[in-house]
This record gives sequence, C-alpha cells and structure tokens, in this order.
Amino acid sequence: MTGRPLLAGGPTQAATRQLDGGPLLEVTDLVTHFRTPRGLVRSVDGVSFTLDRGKALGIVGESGSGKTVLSRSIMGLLPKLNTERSGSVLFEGREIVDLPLKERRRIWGAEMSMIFQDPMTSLNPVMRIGKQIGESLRLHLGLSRRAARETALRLLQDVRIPEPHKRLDQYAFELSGGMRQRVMIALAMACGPTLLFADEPTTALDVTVQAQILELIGLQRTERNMSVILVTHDLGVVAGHTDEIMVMYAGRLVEKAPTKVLFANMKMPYTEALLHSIPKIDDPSHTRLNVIPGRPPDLVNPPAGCSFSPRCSFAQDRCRQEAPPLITAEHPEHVYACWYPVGSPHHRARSAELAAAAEGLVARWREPARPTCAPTATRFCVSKTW
Amino acid sequence: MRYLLRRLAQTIFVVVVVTFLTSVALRFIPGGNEVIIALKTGPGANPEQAEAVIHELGLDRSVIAQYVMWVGDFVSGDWGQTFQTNQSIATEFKRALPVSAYLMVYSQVIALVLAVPVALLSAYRQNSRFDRLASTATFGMLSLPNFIVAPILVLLFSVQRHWFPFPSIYHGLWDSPLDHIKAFALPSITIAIPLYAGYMRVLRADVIGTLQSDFITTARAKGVSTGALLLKHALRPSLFSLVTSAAVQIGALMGGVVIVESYFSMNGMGRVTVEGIFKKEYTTVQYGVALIALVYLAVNLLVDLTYAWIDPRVRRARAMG
Repeated sequence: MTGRPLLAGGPTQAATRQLDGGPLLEVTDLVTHFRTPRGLVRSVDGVSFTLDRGKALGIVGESGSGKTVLSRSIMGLLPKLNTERSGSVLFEGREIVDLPLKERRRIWGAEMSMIFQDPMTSLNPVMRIGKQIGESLRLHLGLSRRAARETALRLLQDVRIPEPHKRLDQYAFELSGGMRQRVMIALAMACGPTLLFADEPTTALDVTVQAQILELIGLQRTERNMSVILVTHDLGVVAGHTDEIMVMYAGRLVEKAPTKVLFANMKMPYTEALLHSIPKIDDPSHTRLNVIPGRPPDLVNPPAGCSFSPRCSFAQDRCRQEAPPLITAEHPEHVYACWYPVGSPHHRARSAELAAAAEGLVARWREPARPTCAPTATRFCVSKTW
Repeated sequence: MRYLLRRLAQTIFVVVVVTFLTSVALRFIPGGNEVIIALKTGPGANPEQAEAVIHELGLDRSVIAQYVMWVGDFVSGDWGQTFQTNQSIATEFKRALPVSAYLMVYSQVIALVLAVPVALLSAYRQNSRFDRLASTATFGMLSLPNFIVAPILVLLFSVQRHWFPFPSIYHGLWDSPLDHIKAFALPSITIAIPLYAGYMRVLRADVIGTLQSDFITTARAKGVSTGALLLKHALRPSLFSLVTSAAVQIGALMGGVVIVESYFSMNGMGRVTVEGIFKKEYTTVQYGVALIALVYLAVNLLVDLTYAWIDPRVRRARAMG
C-alpha cells in the first residue's frame, strides 16, 4: 500500500481541484451520429449529465446502446470523418467539443484517460511495458527517460503488479490478462488524470480478476481524487463501484439516479429487465436465464415513440407513439423516461398478469424438464459477480 | 540461439546442394566433354591438350572428388580462365560484384525511403486525396517495365539535360564519389521505381490493418502525435510483409536486373552470367550462379533474424523451440 498520491498533479493541481467548485464534467445535449452507406446511425442522441470531482458514474446499457460511443465522444477520440457531433462538453469549465486535435491531445492521457475492454489487444505488442507507460510521462510531463522509467516502476507498484522490476522490460504477451489490465490502468493513471474512462474494463477478464480490477480502479480513484466513468453492460459491476448510474438505451439516457436510489427504486422497465437478466447466485443451477426479448433497435431507423417499446412487456399504445421525456422521480436526482414506470398502477397490473402467465408456463415446463437456454434470444449479461 | 543454429544448418545444407548441382552440371552439357574441349582449345585439339582440359575441370574424377576440387577452387578464388578469351573469371566477377551490390543497395534505399513515408501517410489518410493520388501513381509505376523507364530517364536527364552520363561508366565510390553517384543514379532509379511501387502497396495495406488495432487507440488516447503514432506504434508491427518482399528482391536484384545492366552498359552479376550462357562460358556461369545463390541465402538468413527484431513474440517462440 502506497498512500502517496504519486504524480497526481502535484500540489498545485491538487489545490486547484479543491478550490474549483464547479462540476468536473458537464455534458449538454451531446449528439454523435455516424454517416454510413445505410444512413445516419444515431449512436448518441442528445445526452446530458454532469459529473462531480472524485465521483464515479456508471454508464450501463446493452451492446449498441451507445455507451462506448458516448465515452469516446466526450473524450473527442472519434475520427472526424463521417461523424456528426454537436452539443457541449465542459471539462473543468472549458468547452472541449470543438477543440482542435492538437489541444485535445494535450488533454488526452494527461487530464482524461481511458482504459479499454480488451487488455489482450490494447497494449502495443512490440513495445516494452516500461516504455509504453513512460511514453505519456515523457510526452505530457517532459520527464527524462530515466525519470519516466522510475515513475513507471512506481506506477506498476501502485497497481500491485507482482515483480514490477521485471515487468518494465517485458512485452504485453508475456503477461496474463489481469496483469495487462493492471498495466493499462497504470498507463492511464500515469499523468494523474482528473477523469478516467473505463470502457468495459473487466469484460474480457475472468470473474475473480474482475473484482480485483474494479477494486483497484476504486482505490486509485479515492487515492487520486479522480472521477471515473465506468462503462459496462453489467449492472452488477457498477453496483458496488459507482456513486451514480446512468442507463442508456438506443443512444439516449433513459434513467439516471444515485446508485442506491436506483437499486431501491428503479423506474424504467428496461433497467429492471437489465437487473433481472443477471443470474442470481442462489438460483438452482440450470435456471433459465432471464433475457430481454428482441434486439436493441436499429439506430438508423429508431422506432417511433419510446425506443424500448417494441421489447417492453409493459408498452401501451402511447409508448409506441410518443417518446417519453425525462421525468424527475421522488428523489430529486433520479430521472427516468417512461410513461408507465415500475410501481405505477398500470405496471403493477401488467406485472401480475405476466406473473400468472409465467406460472402457467413453468408448470407446463416442469414436466419434460429440459432446462436449456433459449438459443435465439439475445442474451444479456451473464456476470456471476452479482 | 538454438533457432539460430538450426537456421544456420539449414542454410549450409542448401549451399551444399546448390554448389554441388552447379559443379556437377558440367557433366550434363549437351555435346559432353568434346564441346568443352573444343571451346577451350579451339578445333582440332591434340589428345594431350584435351586430357589437360578434362583434368583441370575434374571431369576425369568421381563426382564427389570433382565437387571437392571445385569447392576448393571456389573458396581459394582460383576460378580459372574463360574458355574463349582466356580472361580471369575471378577478376571479371570481382568487377561485377560491386556493380550489382551498389545497384541493389541504392535501388533498395531509394525505394524504401520513398515507400515508407508515402505508405504511412496514405494509410493514415486512407481514401484522402493524397492517398488516391499516391495509390494511382504507384499502380502506374508498378505497370511500367524497366525497358520503358530506362530510355525515358535517359532521354530526360542524359540527352536533354546532361546531368548524368550515358552509358554509365563505373567509378568506385571512394575513387570519385560524384562520378560514382552520377553513374549509378539512373539505373538505380529505374530499378527503384517498380520496387517502390510494390513496397508502398504492401506496407500501406499492412499499416491500414495495424491502424485498426486497439493498441493504436490506446496510443491515441495517450495523446501521442500523429508522427509518433505512425513511426513508433504503427510501423513496426506492419513491417513483416515489407521485410519479406524486400528480402526476396535483394536476391532478385543481385542477378535479375540484366535488362537494366545491359541498357546502361554496366557489367553486373546478371549481365556477366547471362553473357556467359550465350557464349557457352560454362565455368563463368557456374561461379555466377553459385555467387548469386550465396548472396541470396545469406540475405534470407539475415531477414529471418530481422523478424525476431520486429516482433518479440517471434523471439520468444524461437527461444522456446
């Protein structure tokens, strides 16, 4: 355990962090569309939120819900070609949406950095680990080769890699998946960023390593007073590691609340379906996985009304015609977009109906006892950490 | 290390096979020993003369003994005289080898120095105006044969402007560097043009692939500049095909640019060997083939070691195997 804040900005940066009262990140009506031969893909369609310093925000959604594009769009990492991007991203009070590439590069890796999904492919295969970590140190902090190497070593110690000395001169292929993701974290932390994007950081890792990596990110966050945006499809992952959760569907924010509030009182049938699709540890084995029927919508031709309505068990005519706006729930920081949220009279009545129907199905099902998974359904998250 | 030894053993084996075949080839000449005797002594040789010729070439011994004798001569540099003009074969190749080597090195350097930056930029700005222009021009160069390029260059730069001499007269690099460069400029450029085109296409395709990799996104997210992104991150993992094709070309260039050598009247390995074939100078051809094969094998051995430099995974895999 090394409690020191390492290079995390040094005293000056830490001081400004405390003095400056505004939110670290303020995203307003961010739109990111891609021009493709098939038409305009509306990957991010008007998303707004704010993130305070030192806080962790989870962005949750299925594949294709726009969560990865959102995080890359905030950072400005997407290629300009065939991308339409509008809205506003205020980072430390500064507008960064239309920043020229040169300015953005000064922020990348220094103030904002990103950890990617697959540690197997995210590290340069032909560059030594020490050099890869040292590269941003030399680039942003102007460290000498030797100082960069020493700092890289300390970073490797901070991410608790065994035998850090040895790792400096190794290549990515010589490390295990978990170690590589630790290297990625060290790399992302190198210059003491104020905002860390973690894009599915544990999806490619096995379950025991997942927990360690999430714990490490959390630890580094508190040690460095860094904000974290954790992008994942797994509600289980964000539950224990975020202050706030944002659920995305078809490029839009559909529900957002402080983590505890969300789990206590989720409003969107989609959020509820996400939660139910996580298998529970005390379920008997071979329990059928709950899946959300259907597929995420085509982002070129999104459905009319609520974009989740075609897959929603509770959808009414109104849902299919009129897109619900974001409504504030009982808790002032809890917003959702649904006409018939969980707990509303209609929802309750329909739930009872569905439960009765399910009961009947189960009774019929028990007879031949063939507990296999539905092959055609789009399976959702399968994490066992929950 | 073990890999290196195995690779070395392989190379030696191939060298032995190649030299054995070239040395024994004398026995399969159409017309047999009489032809050789006739070439060497002129028509109407007396039996003693004929026997001397046969004995000198080892044709009166067993195949193995002939081979051993031939290798001894080859290594000691005692390569004998040409049949008809009675000139030292060794001297002829001593002149030809540097000509070919210079041509090969210069044309490779020109081709690579042009191909690498153009390919990197083309790949980085795929389908941009630059990329389309470069790719079209490259495709054009690829389809231009040497014997068209050479006269055009000569016309433009030797006839209309007297920048370069034609035909090229050999000057040693250290004797008079300027004349040396002038002599080699046009032939090297002629050879380099299709080489460049091939390299540029191979490398561009590989860099485009590499740029899709996750680790490139990682590097971008670090804030690395475009230049560093391309040179430090994208280039090395994309070098495999380029190195392979460049290596094949080295061998081809050592003996295979006869047209260019002939056009510019340069006596390189290719020209000397091919003329040997036309003039039935069988021993000259033997040594030419053996030399070219040796260079080719040595280069390929070197290239194999380069792979290990490019990709540490190869190094590791070989160390294990």
